[in-house]
Amino acid sequence: MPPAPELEDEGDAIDPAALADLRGLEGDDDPDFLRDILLSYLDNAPKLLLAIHAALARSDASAAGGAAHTLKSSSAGVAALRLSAVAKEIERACRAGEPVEAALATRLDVEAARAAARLVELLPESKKEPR
Amino acid sequence: MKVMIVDDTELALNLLGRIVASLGHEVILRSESLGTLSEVRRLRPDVVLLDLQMPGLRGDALGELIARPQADGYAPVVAFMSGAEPEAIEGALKRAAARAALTKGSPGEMRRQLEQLLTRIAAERATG
Repeated sequence: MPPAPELEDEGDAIDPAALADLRGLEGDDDPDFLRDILLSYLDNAPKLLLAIHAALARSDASAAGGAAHTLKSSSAGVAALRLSAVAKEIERACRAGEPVEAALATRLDVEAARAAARLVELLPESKKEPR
Repeated sequence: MKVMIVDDTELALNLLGRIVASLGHEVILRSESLGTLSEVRRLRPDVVLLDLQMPGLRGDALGELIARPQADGYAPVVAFMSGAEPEAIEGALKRAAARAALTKGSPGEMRRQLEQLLTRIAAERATG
């Protein structure tokens, strides 16, 4: 059995500066912009994780790399930069035809769980008036 | 300027649209490459930002078609967006006569890249 991956705690799963940039895009014309973006991410990221693992399980590097690519970009967009970096490494390995180590795949899940938990904490209440 | 953004990922599309709108430009969002060429000809955006990795017609193939001048001389500026570094998509840039490659990253990074690109394009258009 391979050794458990080292779960370093390098700080917040969500980069504070990138989050501030994201919050800076909120405006009166779309008061739920941040909420909508985070909900969209929380809805789609688990599907991408499943797609990556399923593709790796059937040795489909092209599909795994494609899903990792989308997860990398989406995660960066919501300031989950650590998860984005892990997805980037998986994408690189898939594109290079290298095996994705089990520890790296596990790290992906760990970072994804951390990012999701933090984003749920950060999820703002809807500012729209109820209809 | 009128900026069309084409990206099949909802999150990226909404985020990019918000960034471009915050820079003071009119935004047209499209979530698929199919039908984009006719919409470009109908709506005549100044700039088209294309995701390179899309199902259906790839961004570089679509960009090549979009960048061709129309009979009246109209041709939008095409720029690619990708998670890859600009150097990695140099071939696609040349094939499609695209003007720039933006690297998808954090909101701040994308805003800086877009502000720089759109300011440059607007200045060029103003001076003819």
